[in-house]
Amino acid sequence: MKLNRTFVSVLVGVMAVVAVSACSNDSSNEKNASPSGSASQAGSPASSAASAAGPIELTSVKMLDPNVTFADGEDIENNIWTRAAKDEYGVTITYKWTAPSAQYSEKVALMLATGDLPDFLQLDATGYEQALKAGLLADLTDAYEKYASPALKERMMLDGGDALQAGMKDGKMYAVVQANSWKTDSEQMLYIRKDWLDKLNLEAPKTIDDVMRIAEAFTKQDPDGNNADDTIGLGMTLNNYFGFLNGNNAYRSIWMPDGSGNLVYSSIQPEMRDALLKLQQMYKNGYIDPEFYTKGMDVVKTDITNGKIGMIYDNYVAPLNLMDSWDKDKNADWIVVPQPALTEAEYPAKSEVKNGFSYYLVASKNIKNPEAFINMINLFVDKQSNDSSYVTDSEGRMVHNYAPANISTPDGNLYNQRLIAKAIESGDPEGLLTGSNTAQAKQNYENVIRLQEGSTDKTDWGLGKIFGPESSLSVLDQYYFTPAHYVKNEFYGAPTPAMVKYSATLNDLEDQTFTKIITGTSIDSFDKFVDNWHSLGGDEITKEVNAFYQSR
Amino acid sequence: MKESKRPRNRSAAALHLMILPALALLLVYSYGPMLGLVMAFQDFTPAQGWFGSPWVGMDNFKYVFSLPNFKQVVWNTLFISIMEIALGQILALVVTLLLNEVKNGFKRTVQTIIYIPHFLSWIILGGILLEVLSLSGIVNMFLHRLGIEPISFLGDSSIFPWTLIFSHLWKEVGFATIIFLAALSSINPQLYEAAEIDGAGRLRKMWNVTLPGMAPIIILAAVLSIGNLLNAGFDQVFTLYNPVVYDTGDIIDTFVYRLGLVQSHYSLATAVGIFKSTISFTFVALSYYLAYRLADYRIF
Repeated sequence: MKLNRTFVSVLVGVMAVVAVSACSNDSSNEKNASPSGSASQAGSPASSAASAAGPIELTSVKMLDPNVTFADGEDIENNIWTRAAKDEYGVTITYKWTAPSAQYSEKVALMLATGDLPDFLQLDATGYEQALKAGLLADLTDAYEKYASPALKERMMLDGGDALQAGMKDGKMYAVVQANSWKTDSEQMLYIRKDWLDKLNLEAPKTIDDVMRIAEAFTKQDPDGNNADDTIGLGMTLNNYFGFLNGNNAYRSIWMPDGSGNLVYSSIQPEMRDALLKLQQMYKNGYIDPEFYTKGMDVVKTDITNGKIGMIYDNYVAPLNLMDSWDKDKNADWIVVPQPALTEAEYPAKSEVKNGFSYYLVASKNIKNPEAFINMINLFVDKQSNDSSYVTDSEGRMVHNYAPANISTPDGNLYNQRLIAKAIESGDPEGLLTGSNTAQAKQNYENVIRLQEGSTDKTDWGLGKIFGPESSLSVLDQYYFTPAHYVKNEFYGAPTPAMVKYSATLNDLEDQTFTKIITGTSIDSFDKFVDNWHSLGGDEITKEVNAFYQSR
Repeated sequence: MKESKRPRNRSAAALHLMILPALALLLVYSYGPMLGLVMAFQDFTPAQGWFGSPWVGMDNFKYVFSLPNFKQVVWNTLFISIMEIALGQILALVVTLLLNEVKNGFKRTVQTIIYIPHFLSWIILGGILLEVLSLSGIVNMFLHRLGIEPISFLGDSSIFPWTLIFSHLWKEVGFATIIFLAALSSINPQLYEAAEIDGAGRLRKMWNVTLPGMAPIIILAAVLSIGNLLNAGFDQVFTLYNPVVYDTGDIIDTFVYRLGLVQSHYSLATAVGIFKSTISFTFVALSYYLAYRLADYRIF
């Protein structure tokens, strides 16, 4: 059969276009770093003793966001960090690909699916669990023991050893784990308008009853003096009322010891019932926004800025949400106090904290030089604490993002606050240079100084209220940084099989039940929720969580 | 006969070949991914892949159907989408008939104004509606002036579905009138002239000329929308709902989102997807049959 030539050529043309566009789609995501050959041009090999044993080549993949910029002629495989790796440890690193953080875990999931891992890489909890199960990871026990620098080992113990534990399985180490700043990040404190307290002749609260009395006064006694019924006692979203629950010795969605060696789920304990009843009462009396459940923090922040809200539970960064309120009304004098408790004897109440791990640095089981991988982490710890040119360069580029492997000090902001407070007291900012993030410490120190000198800039106020001598971090440091003052989630790591299966349903049920109780549904539904929780998979999860707990 | 057919066949072969690229695209991007449906019958983890994940038969389906709120979620979906389809059709028809009775300049202005919401995404409209419909929002301020107690449009589970339905109508009715207006323009003007000579007034003409002329299109539009019965609009519900109204406002898509995607629980999400597709397919087949019987409309 003879085909019309025109048709055929059109057809071929169309197919070519399709093929080309499909290819270009694929390739545009690959590697936005330039050719890998450039790495070898930099630095002279054999320039240090470490490389005398011959060059070591490592492959990896990297999370690299578009906002990370490079100096002219440099790229992710040729920069201050890769030169240091080569000069000090004789290691050359090639990246199989780089991807922005939004796509990173997806691309890693693909690599995990094929089992083709680079020599080392960064995984999230789920990826780590999968890779471990599939037997893709190298045993790092010996390499870490022999080659990890004292500074790295010290850093890994800053959280009491939880991070180290999280990377172990059956006594062997499979990952160097970055602890997130859970101690500072998750602890809740209470922020109050001091000017409103003063106006109504009230004291800062010590008990939950005080909180409820103040909420009532803030709602009903016109604390802003505009003769309108337009203020709300306690600012609240669906996600930030657990500070109030904590004050009632109730904890939201964590696993805590029951006193007999087992873990129990906090949300189904009787204390929760009482705490929810109190919130229900507050809601009924109008001390909470009647539609808090539709409002995100952005909306609540607008209410705060407009002087409608007098109290809010939040973590230490809250001043950044409150600074617009001060910007608008310089009388808005927000103070931060530890959590009020059920009784004065228990004050301050314990805050719940969810310990967690940001990521897991792992090596492929096929890695030839596991010690080189550990050395890359050593390199980071060493440079980050001793040479600020590896953190930010003279043009303000965040060069620490180029580092091949990264284990940072958790709770860095808290340590910075200590240094800043000390520097302010002594009047000598030299001490700021001993921290792990000197650039930021210096910057925040200046914010504090400017605020003390009467700055009217809201950023100075916000950061000053976080890092100053009397600030959210100083209250946190004073009351909440020691284990006796918080209740820790004792379960960490990837979700157990039953959690994967049931927790979406159970969390749904919990959110729904709690929100409905606060907005007025009978408290009997709490008892029904507890029954349902047990029968819909909660018991199975409890068993697995306890198996994890006993195996530690 | 035979000879006259040959050349036609030849050109048809070339035409068929031209379909190939489109067919290839369809195979690669629409049919290829369907292989992923096996996940519904597996305990799927990405690391083990399709070939390594263990088979669990119908367990995922059994689990989904055993969830205490699944029936309610299906019911919510049906209720919301049936209401949206039914009221949407009626309202669009009424608006069309009214528009047909007014002068062209005014008609165009009104049309443009009622189309506008269609072109905004629910993410934007959702933000606006949350503000407008809140207890201290503009709607309740207006009701307050009239002496009516504030209504919790977004937090009362008996009202929330209607908030969804009416905001959907507000957004989409204008656009739905386009197809009806098109149908109107195809009615032979001579019919109107004849009716006028017979002494018919506006209402008479509407009833005896306009509506019968539009009937096939009305039936067709209604029947074809049945295929969408299980799509009650993820974007809209997702931007507007909250845990207080889960019991009446949660639809299959939002439920699957919380169940499947938030927890990376691919197997369950796929199982619900298959469930939805099966029902939708039945509805589409049924609506195709009905469209043929009632409006004499066939695609193939």
